[in-house]
Amino acid sequence: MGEEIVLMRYRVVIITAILCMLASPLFSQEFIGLGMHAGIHHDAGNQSNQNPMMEYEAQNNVLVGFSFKVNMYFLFVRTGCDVSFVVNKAKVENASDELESMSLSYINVPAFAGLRFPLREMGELYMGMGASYHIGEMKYRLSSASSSDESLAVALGYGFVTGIEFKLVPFARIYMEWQYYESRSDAGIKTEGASYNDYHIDFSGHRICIGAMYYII
Amino acid sequence: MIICTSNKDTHTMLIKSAVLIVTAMLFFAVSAHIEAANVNYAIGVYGGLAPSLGDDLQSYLQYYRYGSQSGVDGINRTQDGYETSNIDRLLGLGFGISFKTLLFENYQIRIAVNYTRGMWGGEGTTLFGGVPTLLDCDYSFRMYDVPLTFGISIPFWKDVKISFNCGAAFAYGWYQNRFTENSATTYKGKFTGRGYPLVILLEAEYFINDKIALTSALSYYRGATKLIEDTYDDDGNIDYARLNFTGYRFNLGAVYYFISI
Repeated sequence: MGEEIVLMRYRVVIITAILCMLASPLFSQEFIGLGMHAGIHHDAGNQSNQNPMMEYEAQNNVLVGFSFKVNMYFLFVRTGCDVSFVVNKAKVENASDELESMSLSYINVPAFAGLRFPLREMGELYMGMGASYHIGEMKYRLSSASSSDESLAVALGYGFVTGIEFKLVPFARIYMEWQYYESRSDAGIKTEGASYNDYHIDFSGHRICIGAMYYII
Repeated sequence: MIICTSNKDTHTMLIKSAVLIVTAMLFFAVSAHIEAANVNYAIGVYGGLAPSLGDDLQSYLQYYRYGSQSGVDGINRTQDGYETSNIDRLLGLGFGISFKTLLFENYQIRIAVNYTRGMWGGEGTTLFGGVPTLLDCDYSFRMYDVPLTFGISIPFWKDVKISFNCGAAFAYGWYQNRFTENSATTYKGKFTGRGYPLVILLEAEYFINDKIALTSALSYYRGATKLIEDTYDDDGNIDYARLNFTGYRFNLGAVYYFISI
């Protein structure tokens, strides 16, 4: 009976040691991270792409979000959610029979995969691409209208992410990144007095984000 | 044979000879120095995505006949009772091969050959005209380019290299569009041309051993051809367009160094 207990204890010690050995590379790699960030999005709505003749004051948005990142040696997978708020709406400055002002706020759910380039204890560079899902609401006012209107749109697009992580303390890093998306909805807004919708909601463009990531494993 | 020359000619010849000799000496000195500094070479293969290939694919016909001021971006229209489908910008798939010369470990000259083709998007049905009329649209774009870039490469131990390059490319492209009005009248456009877009490239390499690295690169091209007349005449319509090479490219691949890093 006593020998069985000793053997059991040995087994527990050995299994624990094996688990620790298996887990240690994961710890050293900083395997799973949770991050929070804030960013800016200039020219939200990307109006000039729909009407190059339009002269307007571009819309600026701030965004806050969280990210969930999994590192596997030289690969990473990352998802999360960003909520974008309007700082200033876009105002059309030239005489136009189309839009007078517009503001776009949205939620973005990206999913990236790519390569990471660890710089030993300093941090890492990462570059990835993937899909993005945008849900947005655009408030707009036509030149001919007396009041504002709004339109809700969803769009599935794709994008890139490139950034650097810098290690502050063990298991915590700050990161700064550039995101670029191509994502447009169907035409859903009438602007020209025609009977059809001729204006889409465009989520495309660049975002710059800065945040902190805590590696839980 | 006696060659008579004036003092001035002799002086000029002496100067030219001196310049030639000094140039040759400099060339050999630099070459020897480069040789001593362990020049390295690398060859890589990669593939990736090119969003918005051909940019907005604008043409004269789209502007004046279909009322789109921004090509594929502005041509999308919908209305209840009409079966339309969204026409997206082209998403291109590309692959290429690159050759790099690294001088003094930190400086590099890179030349590559890339082929990119629009694979997704560029197809759908929209409306046009005062009385809404169905319009089937179909766009295609393909190109090859040869970028020559110069850059700085920073190694991080023997694990990672990050480089930033700038330069220009020779690019040659083919752009075709087709517009079918109400499933009857069809207008086609076919454009070919070349341009020299600016190229900016950020590249990172992760070494899995002394000679082979996995690589990821993000590049930005900016440039277009001059205005080109369409070469398809059977539809009785002449269209004009630029081939726009502007856009981002994202590539993943592998690179092989001839000499261990």
